[in-house]
Amino acid sequence: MKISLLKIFLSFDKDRNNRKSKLSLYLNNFSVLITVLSIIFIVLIISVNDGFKLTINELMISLNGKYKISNKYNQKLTDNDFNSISSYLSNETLISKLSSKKLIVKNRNLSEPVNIIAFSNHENFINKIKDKLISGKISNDEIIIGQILAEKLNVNIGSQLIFMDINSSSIKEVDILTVGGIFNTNIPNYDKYIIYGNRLLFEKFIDTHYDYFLTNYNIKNIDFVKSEYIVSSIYELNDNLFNWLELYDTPIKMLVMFILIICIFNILQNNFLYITSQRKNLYILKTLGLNNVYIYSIIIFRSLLSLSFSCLIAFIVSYSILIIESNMNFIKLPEYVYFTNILPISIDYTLILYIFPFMTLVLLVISIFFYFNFIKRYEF
Amino acid sequence: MNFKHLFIFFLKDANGKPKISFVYSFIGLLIGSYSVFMIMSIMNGIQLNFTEKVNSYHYKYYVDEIIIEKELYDYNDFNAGYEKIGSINKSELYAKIIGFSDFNKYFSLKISKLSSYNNNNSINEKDILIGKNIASNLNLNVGDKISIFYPSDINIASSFIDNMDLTVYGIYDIDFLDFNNNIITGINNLNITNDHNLKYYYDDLYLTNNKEYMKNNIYSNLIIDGLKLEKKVYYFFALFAIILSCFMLFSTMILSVNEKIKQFIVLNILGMDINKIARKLFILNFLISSLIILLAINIVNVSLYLYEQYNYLNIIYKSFPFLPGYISFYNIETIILFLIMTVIISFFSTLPLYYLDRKEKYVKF
Repeated sequence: MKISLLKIFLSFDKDRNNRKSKLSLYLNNFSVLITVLSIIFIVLIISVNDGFKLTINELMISLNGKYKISNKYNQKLTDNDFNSISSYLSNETLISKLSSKKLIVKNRNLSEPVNIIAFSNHENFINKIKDKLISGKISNDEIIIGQILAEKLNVNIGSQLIFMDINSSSIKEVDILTVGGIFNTNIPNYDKYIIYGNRLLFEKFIDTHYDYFLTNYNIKNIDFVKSEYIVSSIYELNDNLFNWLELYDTPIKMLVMFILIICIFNILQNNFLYITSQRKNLYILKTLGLNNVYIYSIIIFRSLLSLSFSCLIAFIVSYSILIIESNMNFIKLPEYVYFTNILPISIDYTLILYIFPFMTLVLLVISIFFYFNFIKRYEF
Repeated sequence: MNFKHLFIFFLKDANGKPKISFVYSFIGLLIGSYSVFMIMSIMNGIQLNFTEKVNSYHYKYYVDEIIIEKELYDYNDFNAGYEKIGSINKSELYAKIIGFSDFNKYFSLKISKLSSYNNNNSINEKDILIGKNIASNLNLNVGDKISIFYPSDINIASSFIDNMDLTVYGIYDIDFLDFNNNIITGINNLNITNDHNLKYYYDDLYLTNNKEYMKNNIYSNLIIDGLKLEKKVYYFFALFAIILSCFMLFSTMILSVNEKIKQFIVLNILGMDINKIARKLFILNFLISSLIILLAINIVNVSLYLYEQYNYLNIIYKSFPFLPGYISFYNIETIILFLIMTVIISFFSTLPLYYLDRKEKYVKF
């Protein structure tokens, strides 16, 4: 008896020739469609939002490393500092020794202020700028410059640039360097002002000491380094940028929450429609001795089944869309506004583990609440 | 059949009890409408803040000299400008120096409201406005003097550097992009010749007979454009929430129509055809959806008011660096959204009536 009852209740397609069944089938399919669409949108919104954050995080870390070490007393760092810090780290840990200096760069009558970043050797340079090169290559003999700067100065690979260090009354130093590569990070401040090169190329402008070290190792855990140097994480150094990223989180989270609620309401409403259309059958079942709790638990089970089925379809569709978009890059963005020229996507397969249990829980809570407050009173 | 009867006809079941299934659709519509206007409120707040800063600093459009000559525009309507990189002496600090032919006009119309300056003094030829970051880096105040030179003008052969002494007339504070790192002055302080291509800036399109020649499409304007794009994307998602609720309403209405098929036949015999009922139902649904949307707008405005006045609802508003804007009923964007939403809801809730036509093929509705 119970199994046959379950079959009746859970069946989405009882009799295709029966008009009432056809309507019920249509309403059930419609409800599943709404749930599927809702979950697809939720997965897409979360994936794109996380994609933006992840892209910018990775970009900033690839250009700056995770931690910056500088002298506590605004002095330069030396090779002794490097050796003492390195002694606390394993041999595989990469630390880059860097110097920077503001200079004027000139090509014919065009000139721009730049910030040179001088590394010791490009092979153990923590910065992944070589991945951002759009032409040329990184080497120890030539400099690499940003795309915007190259356009402003009207230079290309092989062009020579005049570098000047100027004080209040005269030019302190001048040197001519060759452009070996042009990079595009999609961050305007990098592409406009930064020039990378081996420190030997800039020896006229910088001394033998270093301004800071960069590493990806969590150096804040080492007490000696923490007490002797200033260690700043990439997030502390770029707090404005990361706060900017968080700015849009609240409206997005609210939207996702609202769509989730509407999706759950849709399943509950479908139950109401089901109860309304099956009212006579329900009265018969009650007359046969089944109580409300039993009937209602079957209806909740029906909701969960509908939710599971919708989730399955929705996740397959949404992940397919995300995989296709991340491979084909159909959607283009203005790069200097979003720091990327393609729609950034973070495909997180663990979303299933959050969305489905969360929706199940909310569905159960709201179902029980509505059962005690409305259904008992009105429907049957 | 008046609107009241029609309302009761649909909202009550055969036993005269209210149909609970409508509750979900109406709550869904309310949530969807709330999300649309909440997004509008948040994005308007951000946009207003950004636009105010950008418009206080930049002109919106520019033309070049050839266009002015060709179209016989009056030079006085435009403010010629030029940008150069300058170095502040003894500071190792480089700044973008923006010069305007009518510095006075630029100052009074645009940046003055975000600047601190001495009201008693008028702007002189050698006066400059500096950004807050430059002022704090060099510990400068209004009235102080600084010396500037232009790296592009340096003669490498002679190593000669031509310094220019300028007076800080005011310090502006526009915390947006690199605005606070720049210097603004009269164009004469930029040492430029006739060979330099000046841009002729303007804000009002009527000056060029509503022709938008060149948008001052600098990075800040790109950000505003990006913001507008994001706003549209959010609207799309929020409208999607409404459409989901409409689907729910659609299902409920289908079932309701299905239940009351006999009553419809009676109404039809009494002389009311389906189009007549549909028209009335559309108007009724338009009124109901208008009420729901107006309620949503009021919830947004009241919650914002409670936050502003009594610091309630911190959980929603605290994370925003800018206060969201109130939703105005007279705003064209509000009216358009209102109409789109009411029409969508009314359409979806009236459409099921035509289900009768297909279902009862032996009765001519």
